Amino acid sequence: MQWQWGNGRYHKYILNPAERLSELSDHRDRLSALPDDILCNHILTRLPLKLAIKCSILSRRWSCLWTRLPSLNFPRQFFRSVASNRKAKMIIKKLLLAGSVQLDSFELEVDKSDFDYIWERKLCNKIAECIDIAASRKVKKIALKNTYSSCSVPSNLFTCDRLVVLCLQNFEISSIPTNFSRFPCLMTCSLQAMLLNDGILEQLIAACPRLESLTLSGCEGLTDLKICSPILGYLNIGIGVGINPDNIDLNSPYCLIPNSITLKCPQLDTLVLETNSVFKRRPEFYQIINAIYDLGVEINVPICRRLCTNLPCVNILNSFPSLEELSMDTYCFHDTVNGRVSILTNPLEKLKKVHVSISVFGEKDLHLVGCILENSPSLETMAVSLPFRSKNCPPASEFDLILMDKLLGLERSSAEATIIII
Amino acid sequence: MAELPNTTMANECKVKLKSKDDKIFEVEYAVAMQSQTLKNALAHTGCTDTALPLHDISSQILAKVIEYCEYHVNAANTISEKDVKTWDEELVKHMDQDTLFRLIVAAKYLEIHNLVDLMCKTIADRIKDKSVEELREIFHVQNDFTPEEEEQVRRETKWAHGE
Repeated sequence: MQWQWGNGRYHKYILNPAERLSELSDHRDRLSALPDDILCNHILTRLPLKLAIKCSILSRRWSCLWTRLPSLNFPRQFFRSVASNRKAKMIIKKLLLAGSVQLDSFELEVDKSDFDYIWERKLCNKIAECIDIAASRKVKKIALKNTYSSCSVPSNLFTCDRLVVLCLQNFEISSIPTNFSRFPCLMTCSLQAMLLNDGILEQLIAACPRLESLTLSGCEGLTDLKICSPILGYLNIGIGVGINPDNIDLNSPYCLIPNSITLKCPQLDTLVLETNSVFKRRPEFYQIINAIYDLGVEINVPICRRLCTNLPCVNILNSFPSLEELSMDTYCFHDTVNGRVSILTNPLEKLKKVHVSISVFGEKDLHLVGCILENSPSLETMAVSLPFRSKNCPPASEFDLILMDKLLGLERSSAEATIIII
Repeated sequence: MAELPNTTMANECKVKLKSKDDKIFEVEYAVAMQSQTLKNALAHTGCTDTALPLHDISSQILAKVIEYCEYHVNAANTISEKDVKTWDEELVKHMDQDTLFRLIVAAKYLEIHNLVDLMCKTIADRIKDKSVEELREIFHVQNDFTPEEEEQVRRETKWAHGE
């Protein structure tokens, strides 16, 4: 019997009764019959660690599978629960020292109760021990997350020379070992709420020739943010993102907002440049951010096609000659402090799609949208989110409606451009 | 070694697959390319009228595999990621165990990585909230330990069993 597939057409094949019977369950243990590779690498690794180990009691086949897990994820309070338990420590050792099995990924999270239970230095030593073993097993991915109090990243992290993915959250990198040269395979790096300095960040990026994706979110200690990376394709900078603004002391040496931003990424395709949205309601932060844009932004991203930002950005659009998609937030335009008018010096030749999110609707927003419309000869869609269209905002006033009409009637340089209100 | 078909040929090329029970399925080239195994095989044979024999895959399972690959080829640029995910979830929601396992083995043999991932994630989800006894019952796992062996394993992994 033959049937044709393609264009989504197909004819249902009807099993004849004899065949249907043989397809019924025969109570075979098909789970255990799966090959090691699938059972271990695809199924057990998706289970919480304790459960994966518990499965060892199922049968002989299962009794040693857990020792060959290629990915390890130590959840929060794991160290605490293991701390006073000698047998548990042997389990951990077994997990980590799985012979020559390559360790695909090692993830770890520590929280307040881990710190409460185990003295900080001891905890950091434990983490260092795990990293040591992970490094010897040529680990490809490391993700360390700390939800309590910042502590130093173990220096042997820099010996993991086969790393492809590195994610760190809420640790401090106070120095890089002198014998560290490179992370030759590192492609993705995510640093969140980290405490570093300019020199360390620069050295780290220079040590990653294959870096394709970098996320820097809510990091402290950077005064002049400089990112020069030859093949970086995706960059996400979150100034103060994830930090509670009430906890910030602007005079402290660990500042969240850099004085300048320099980006030299010839292969960059997508840039996300955001600030903590709560900052926008605090004038003192706002001034600093504006200052960056007046003086200290040098952006060299010749082929960047996508920009997503909630910072005052018309000026920096001049640095994006290849921009095709833009997503922005206009709140920061409502500054009376500088009152400058943003100008586009060159048309955005390739810009096709724009999404503007307006939280307080005013004439300045019309100016901004108009500015873009007049300078984008290839524009296809301009989608505008207006505040009164969202559920929790008050309904449109008469003034809002007048402005909306004006918005829809703005002049545009591209005949095909349509404006949609969402 | 025959060359890979160029684009125009690829559009017209239909790939024939023969299941274990000798049923012939004809799929578009792009659908077959979802399988790394088929991709490599076709690189050797080029576009051919001979059906590729899949000795270990029954027609019922092969039909499901093709259904998956077809959807994903068509969805590639037209359907949102969220909708694709929903479709995947619907596919496995009421799938019986046997089909799941047979599909994993088939998907692994054919090297269709997304399908292997989906199937394994589904099984992991079904294992997650069960006790050891429930797992034995549901998946028909035979306890082949001697009492001494079982005791030793329990002792070694006691930490995992306690809370």
